[in-house]
Amino acid sequence: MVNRMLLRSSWRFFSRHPWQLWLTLLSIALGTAVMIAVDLANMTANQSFRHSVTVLSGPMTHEISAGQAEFPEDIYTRLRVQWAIRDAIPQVEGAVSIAGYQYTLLGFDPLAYLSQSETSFTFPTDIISRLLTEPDSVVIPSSLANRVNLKAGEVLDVKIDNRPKKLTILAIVDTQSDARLNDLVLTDIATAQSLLGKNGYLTRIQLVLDDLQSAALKDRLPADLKLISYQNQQQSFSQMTEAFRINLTAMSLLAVLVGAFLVYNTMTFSVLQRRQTFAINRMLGTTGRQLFRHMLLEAITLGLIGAALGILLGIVLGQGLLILVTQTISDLYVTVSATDLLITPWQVLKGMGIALLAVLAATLAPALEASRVQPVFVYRSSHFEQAGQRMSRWLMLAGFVCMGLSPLLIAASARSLVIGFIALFLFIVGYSLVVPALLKGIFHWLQRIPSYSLYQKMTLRGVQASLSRTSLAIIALTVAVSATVGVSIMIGSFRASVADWLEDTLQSDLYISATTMSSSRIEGTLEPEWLQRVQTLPDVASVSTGRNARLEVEGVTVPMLVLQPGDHSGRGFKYLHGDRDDIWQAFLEDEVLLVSEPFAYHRNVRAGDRITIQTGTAGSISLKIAGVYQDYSATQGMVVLPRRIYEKYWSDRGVSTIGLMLTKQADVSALTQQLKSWAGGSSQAVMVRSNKTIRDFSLKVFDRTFAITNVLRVLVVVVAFVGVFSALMALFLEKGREFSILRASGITPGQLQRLVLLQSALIGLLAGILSLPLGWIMSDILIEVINRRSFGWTMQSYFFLSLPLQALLLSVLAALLAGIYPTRRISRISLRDGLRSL
Amino acid sequence: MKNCLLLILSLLLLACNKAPTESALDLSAAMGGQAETGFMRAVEPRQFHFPQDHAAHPGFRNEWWYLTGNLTDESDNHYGYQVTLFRIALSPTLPENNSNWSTNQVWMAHVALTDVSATHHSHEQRLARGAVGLAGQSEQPFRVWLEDWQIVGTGQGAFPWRIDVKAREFALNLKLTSHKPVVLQGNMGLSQKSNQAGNASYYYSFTRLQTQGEITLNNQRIKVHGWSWLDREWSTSALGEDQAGWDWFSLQLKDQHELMFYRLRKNNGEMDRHSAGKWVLPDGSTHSLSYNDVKVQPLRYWTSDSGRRYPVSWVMHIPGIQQHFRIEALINDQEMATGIYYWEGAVKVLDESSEKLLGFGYLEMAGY
Repeated sequence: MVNRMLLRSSWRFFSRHPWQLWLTLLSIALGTAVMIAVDLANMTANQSFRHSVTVLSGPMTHEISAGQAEFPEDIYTRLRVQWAIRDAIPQVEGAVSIAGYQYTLLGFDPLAYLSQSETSFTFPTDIISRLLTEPDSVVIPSSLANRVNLKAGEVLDVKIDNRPKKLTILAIVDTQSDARLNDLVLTDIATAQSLLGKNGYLTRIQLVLDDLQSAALKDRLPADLKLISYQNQQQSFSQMTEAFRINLTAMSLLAVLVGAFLVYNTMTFSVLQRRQTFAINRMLGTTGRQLFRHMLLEAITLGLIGAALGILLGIVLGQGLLILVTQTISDLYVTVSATDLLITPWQVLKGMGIALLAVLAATLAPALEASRVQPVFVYRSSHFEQAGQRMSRWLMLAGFVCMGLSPLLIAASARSLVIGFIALFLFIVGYSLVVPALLKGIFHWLQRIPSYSLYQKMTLRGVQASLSRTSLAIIALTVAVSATVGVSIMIGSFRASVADWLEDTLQSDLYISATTMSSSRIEGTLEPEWLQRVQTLPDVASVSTGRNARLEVEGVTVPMLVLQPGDHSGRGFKYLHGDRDDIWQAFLEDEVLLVSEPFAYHRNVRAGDRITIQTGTAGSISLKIAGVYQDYSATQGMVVLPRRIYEKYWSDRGVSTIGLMLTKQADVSALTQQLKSWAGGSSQAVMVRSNKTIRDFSLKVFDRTFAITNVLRVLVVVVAFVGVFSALMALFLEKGREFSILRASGITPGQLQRLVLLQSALIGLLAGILSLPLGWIMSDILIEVINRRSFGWTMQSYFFLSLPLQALLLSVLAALLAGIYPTRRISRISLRDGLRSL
Repeated sequence: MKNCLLLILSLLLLACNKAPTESALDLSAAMGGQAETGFMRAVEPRQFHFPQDHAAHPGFRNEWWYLTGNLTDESDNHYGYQVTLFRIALSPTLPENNSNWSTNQVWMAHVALTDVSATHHSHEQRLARGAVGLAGQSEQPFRVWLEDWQIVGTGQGAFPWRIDVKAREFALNLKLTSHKPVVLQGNMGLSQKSNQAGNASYYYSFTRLQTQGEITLNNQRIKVHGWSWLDREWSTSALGEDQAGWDWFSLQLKDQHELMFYRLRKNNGEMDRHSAGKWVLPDGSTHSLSYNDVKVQPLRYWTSDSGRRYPVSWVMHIPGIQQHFRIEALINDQEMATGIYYWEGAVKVLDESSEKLLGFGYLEMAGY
């Protein structure tokens, strides 16, 4: 039964405190928005991959590829003519640059496509016939046509391997229905082969196979070719990116947690402010149960409005996050591109539900408090203060229990990422519960310092007296600032570790690679004469080569670097255990391989173990792991195989990268110039880069990868900021009477303003100080637990002096800003009005 | 970025198919609707050489190897079969490109099997470019193939030939031996299709090929024997503007006569005067038939699932040689529901008055 009187009184209350209402709504909205935005961006990225696999592969179920490299085309003829596999489309693919943008030139056999399903065949219209017969003719997406402002029949200027080419536009495909097609330039397979310099080679063959056919084909395929099922690809993508998505979700839940603290704070505060009203209501016959219900109703109403606003905001925000999420996934895992946010009713409902639950949970205690208001009206809030301070002992106890449980949970859960996050959250909540007691302690200690001025005393006592109302704001600010501190330390440490690692790994001075540079991967095969060429160069102390390939280890494919080490290469690895020289000796002489740390973590193997790998020509063999080395390049782990073993068990003799160690007196720029001029005359795209260029590029990719984390961190602080702002403002506004008395006692408005600002600054400073230990421990959990469980990486913890200063500055600034409006109001308030209510 | 191909291509085809042509095809386009300049034309009679002329003539736009036949098994079940390879040149010259895939030649194959006792007709189409060994032809030994479907010469010289086809629903492994010399159709092998000079084809037939071998149907291998017919034709011609399609008869009579007659249909339904045929005597000598030598009339129609109405029973009068046939489809549904829809099927030939069975044959009806 809705009590109309209570409804009206709520309405009055909030219309008299519009700022409080709006800021409450805003903090709910922001918390919800961050959560929804992350959820939407995550799901869209995932769906986008699924989509690109399932819908775009259409009826195709499998593909044959050779991992990174192209493979000889004769397998396709064998497939169709000898093995009678009907539904197969051969494709050749490469990068093409148009007006400064990267596109994919995709060559295929239109006839293979057309003969796919024998009954629905539509006769090749003139486009297909012209694709086959007109040189360098292409079909382009409408988005590209608009960008370059060209029509069918006109000539498109492109660059392939940095060489200008002219292509004829045969037709334009309307790609509005699917943004993913926007990056494709389609052409006949013959045209693509000759344009890309890939005559005789295919990038992949798409197939439709049933289980029987795929099993049979797997047996027939040469070992260097892989048959990949699109269904499995989707699964492994989901598994691969799971850790990343969980990290983002946890970050967004932190925003909800901070938001919930703030709602709790606001609701508690509003109950305090309305004790008089509630007491009168009780005298007029309202029961405590009715008051309780009413508070919950109020919370749900606020929650619904706030969450609805949050969802709208979240959709806008999600659009922005999506760009960052897809960029990170593309850098870390595989290329995905999604431009439009996918919004499902389920996600909206879920976000709404979580937001409402958080609001309700946060309102439970204040609502209970309201229901306990006695009809005999007790005005003094000191009653509540005292009760609150007694409570703080119990809260402290609960807090210590939570914090104590956290490491136990971490120890007991071994590898579970979700439990790692639960432990992290438990610790944060535990710490928050201890904060009131800590504050009490701090004030106790502060009071014992003698020789305060009256001002300072008033500042101290003012904050202390309202702790029950301010401690929640302080907690919220503490959590938010500590998250900033923790995440910053984590990212900073990570970046510094990666920079160190790059320094160690990039032992050569110059690198030559056959590459199309998309994210940080190197693909392609250098022409063989490069090796002979570099030998003729002066001042080259030693030469190493690398082959980027893929290796199947116990059924799972991982990146593999085939290394022909130079004299300098041994220094490029940093091992977790064991003697560097011994390991290197084994690598040079024995049948062993090296595995990266994430590989060892995910597979639960260590140095000395044996693993079974699938070779190119000799079936599966078992190799000993000589050492586990530190690596940040492949999240799923990678292996390094000595070249002599690769050549023994594989037929491939290609080289992807050549590393040159130069002598001390070498003229680096002249050598680079020489190499670049050779590269310019080569028929393939060859990049010549110094180790510094690669290091800078890698760190750029690193920063791009963590852009999303930084954005989320800022968002959490924004949520907290809004909350603190609203809490402090309500506090100061409520203190209007107190301030009037002070004014009446002879304090000038200016002095009063300073008092309020000092109090704000003190609150901010307290939050800032309290956030430091929490932030530091958080960074530790993030580095030791979360990152390790997500990616299998370990890293050095670094301390950055600027961080605590930043944290203090941030919280003081937030608190000061929150104090400004009330201060200005105080100076305007008339003394008489302020006192009248006494 | 990998898998966008099918989608983009579907969009492309969708865009192209907005024109309201049914299944995006009119017959003249199938026979090479592109520009004719640059291709060789059949302008005057030529000298034929065998086995060389069994192989392809890539300077012409279209060419086909058309094998049809009527077979029986040991239990006297009747089967009809069709194995056709089409070669279509998309342009007169090869594109300038050194990729192995580069070609102007496209191959299409249609195969069909009619199981008369089961009243079932199954068929299949394939397409491939004439490159990287997917489809093509060779002269010595003679071979035309599309993937694992092939017609191949097994001896020195022209015949015997072997057909190897493994389709989804059936397989054919047949050996063909010729019992009669080549029949040059039209004027010494030059078959004029309209008034326009060069709108003609080079056309020869082997009208009586003894056939023996095996068909595989429903996982059963069935020994069969019977007679097949080969039509070879190459040209750079198309139907004239006023021509709608054709009805083509190849009949093998028990008394060792054969008849080929094609009726070119005009848009108004009348027979075009370029319709023509050949009456082949048991000794292999021939007698030319022009359009006013032959009267054909549909007797009965059958409408296919695709909505096309085909005449499946005909009367044919050839007063000059005193022949009066009734020609009946062995089963109604022998429509080739491929990219090009047409009817191609086994028929029986009856004496019009006595209804005595005179022989079997194949009937092709296109442009309906």
